[in-house]
Amino acid sequence: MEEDKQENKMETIDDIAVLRFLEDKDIVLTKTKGGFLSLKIGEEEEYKRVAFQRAFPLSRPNEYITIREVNDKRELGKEIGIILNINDMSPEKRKLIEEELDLRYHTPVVLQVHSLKDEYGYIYMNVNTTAGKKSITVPNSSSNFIRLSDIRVLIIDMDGNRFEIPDYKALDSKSVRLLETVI
Amino acid sequence: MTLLFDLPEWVEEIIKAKYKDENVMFAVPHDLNDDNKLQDGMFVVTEKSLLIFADGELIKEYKIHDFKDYKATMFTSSGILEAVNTNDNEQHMLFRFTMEHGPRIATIARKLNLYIEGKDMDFYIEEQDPKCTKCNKVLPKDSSICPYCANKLDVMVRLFKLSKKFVPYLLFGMVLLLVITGANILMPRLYSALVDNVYTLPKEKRGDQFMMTFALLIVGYALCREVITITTIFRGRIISIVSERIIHELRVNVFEHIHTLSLGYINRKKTGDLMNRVSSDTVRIQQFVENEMVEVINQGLILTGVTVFLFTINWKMALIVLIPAPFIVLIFRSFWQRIHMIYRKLWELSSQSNSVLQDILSGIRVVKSFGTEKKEVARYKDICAQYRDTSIRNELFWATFYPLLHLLTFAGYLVILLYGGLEVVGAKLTVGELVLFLTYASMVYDPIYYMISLPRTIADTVAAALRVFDVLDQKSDIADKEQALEFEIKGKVKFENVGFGYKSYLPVLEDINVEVESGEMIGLVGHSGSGKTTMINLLLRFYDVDSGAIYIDGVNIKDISLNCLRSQTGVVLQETFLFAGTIMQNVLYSKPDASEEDVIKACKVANAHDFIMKFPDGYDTKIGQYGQTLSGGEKQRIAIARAIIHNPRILILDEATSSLDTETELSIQEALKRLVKNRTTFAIAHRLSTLKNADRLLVLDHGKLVELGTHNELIEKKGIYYNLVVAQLKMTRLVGDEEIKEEEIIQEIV
Repeated sequence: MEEDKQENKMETIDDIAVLRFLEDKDIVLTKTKGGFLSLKIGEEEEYKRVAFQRAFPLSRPNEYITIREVNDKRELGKEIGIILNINDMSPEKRKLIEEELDLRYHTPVVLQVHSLKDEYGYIYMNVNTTAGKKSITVPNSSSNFIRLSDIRVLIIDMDGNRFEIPDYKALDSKSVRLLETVI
Repeated sequence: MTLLFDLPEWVEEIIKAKYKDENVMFAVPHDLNDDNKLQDGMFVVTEKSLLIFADGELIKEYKIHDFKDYKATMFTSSGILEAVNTNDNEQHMLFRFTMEHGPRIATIARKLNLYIEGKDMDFYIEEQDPKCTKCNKVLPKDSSICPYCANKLDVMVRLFKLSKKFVPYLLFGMVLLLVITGANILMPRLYSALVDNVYTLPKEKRGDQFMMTFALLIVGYALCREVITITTIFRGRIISIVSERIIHELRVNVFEHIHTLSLGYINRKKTGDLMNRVSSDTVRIQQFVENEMVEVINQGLILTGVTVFLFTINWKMALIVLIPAPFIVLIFRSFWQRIHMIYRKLWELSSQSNSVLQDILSGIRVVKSFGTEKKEVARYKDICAQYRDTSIRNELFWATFYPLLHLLTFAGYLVILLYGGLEVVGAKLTVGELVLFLTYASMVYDPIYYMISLPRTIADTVAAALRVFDVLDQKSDIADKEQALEFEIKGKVKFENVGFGYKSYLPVLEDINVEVESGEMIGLVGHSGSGKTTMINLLLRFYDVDSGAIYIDGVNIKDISLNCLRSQTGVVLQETFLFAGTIMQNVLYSKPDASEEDVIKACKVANAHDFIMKFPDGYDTKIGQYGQTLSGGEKQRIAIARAIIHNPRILILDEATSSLDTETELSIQEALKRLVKNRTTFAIAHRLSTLKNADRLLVLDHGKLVELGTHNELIEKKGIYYNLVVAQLKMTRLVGDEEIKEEEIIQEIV
């Protein structure tokens, strides 16, 4: 009877899909000569170049970081494992991972909006960002000024560059006034 | 696409000092350093070196030949140029850039790979820089003319030239307009004369001519009105006829021209964008030609005429009238941006709420099956609330703005009443003059309002005109040579070192070499995106190859006339597009002079005759939006009939049967089997069993020809084709991991 029950048990997605979580002690990361990251797991598993990707880049940027192999054709290959939270990593590894993530998700934060002009359906903005001053051109549409919440705004310019404003209401009053004409 | 930007002085100095013997091949900006900060940089490629400059110095230098496999990898919001070191095979990151420089650097990467192999790197680049290289502002979609840098006057002159044929009519219309304006300015004068010389003239001053003057003035006044009415009618009629003709010609011109352009140009634009150019942009131009061109002159005349009159009557009062004018201009200007933004926002929100509505309604089955009605209602409510709030803001603004603006003009008016009244009392001004003044004062403001909005109108028209001119100026990149050949195609096809990419930096086909005998059937096999359809597109010369050449019967297809090439090829695509019309008309599409007999024969070959005969109207059955609905298989068979009625020498089947059920596919396969015989055929199919009649199979992988041979040869090779066959067999037999024997595989298809 017991065995029968075992066999008839419905499999949940937990049984079917198994996620491989990697912890600090499992992995060794090394910067390569060419400026990329290589990965070693235990004695057997070794990858010449790996890429780190955020599963939830907007909502949980530090959690569920998946590690993928980069193959010889320099395309993303199979998934090696997932890091649950980079804050649980040792400071050295965390730094390496964050550098790699910064490379892949370069998103300057807008600190100030100097000017904003609407011409022929494009918004021309001069902004101050964490990466420096920049003139950006954004198609005037809600798919380019994305409101992630009441206060958080993501701007995608015409070339596909992203800029974030974590809390636009916290900016200076001129920036808020200018931004409110477009968001 | 510009790949050789002007070098900044400091870069040039460093190159002169260190690399003076090497010519600069490419120089493009880049802007991101390793610490995620923006920088002012240049990426320069000389004959031997890659030089990366940033913020006043040379920060990195590499030798081109120390690396191979250059590649621009794009991430979210930035990219890197990477390459493989030839010594130790290590992958290297060379430098970073943001997205705006991506396409250029990727193109250079592709060229560098050709360069180190010693190949010609002068491939054809169609893409445009999205921004004007002069002012760095965005160019209108796919247009090469920058509306900011274009000389507006040139555009206007060109617009005028466009309506050259109609210039006499337009000039005549303008003369009529002058008459109307003149009469409009004259009327208040007559009225004022009436007041002074008749109504307010004391009895004792009336002379013998009093009644005569009275009558003349009244007649004159009435005559003016009559002239205005008649001229307005006359002018309106002329202008409407002329402007409708102008727009008709322009529209047909644009549409006709679009048809001469290459598929490459058309594909780069959205259908909606092209439709806009043909329909709404031309209307914008028409409006301008019809109204604005004349109206500008008219309003200008009124403004100067009235102002001059005002000053001749009483210069002090004239000044008073004009005092509010600069304020009005200023106020309008300062609010302009805001007004414009609010309207855009409203438009944006209303289209958003529409799309949410459409989203929910078309997914209503999903909504109901998950029981999420309340959530969806809340979603719609939310967007509607946003619209409501913005709309209220907008209405509140106008509700306040207009009355205040009128108050301002009224203030000027009031001052005139007061001051003018005093002047009349002091007998320095007659009552008639005061009335005249008040009337003119009210005429001054209309032209001012008009002039304020004029720059915007001109800008909009220039933008519309530029979009239209952009199409008209586009030279077809695929056109017949002067002495293009016309001959009867036998069907021998040769691809020689063919390379191509829709975006020049992203090669889709590389180094394709294959010779196809006349009458041979070639099956094109490969994963999606491997370049199969692209090969077909090149063969039909929808696009020209970037490198290498394609020959038909030994003649480069660039030397064959397009008509000769396409009239002797038949194409059946997966997406069958039939035009609205009868079945007969659709089959006749490729050979309008074919007889009824030919049509029936073609349909019999395509296995379409029997189902067509089941329709009450037979071959006269209307299909398309308002006609008979056809199933996918039926449409496909009509498309096949259309493709074969002109007995093409080369037949192209691009996934012709893949969207059909097995039974229908079989019946079509049967039809095709006879057609394909002794006819050069290129067939693409995901279902490999469809290709069982193919003489040879050509396997593409990532744009490269990797396998070529008969079914048996390729199975023996156990390469990509073998794997594809095994994978499909597993699928169709519904077996899991069970081993499949080699013999079975060979037998399965043979």
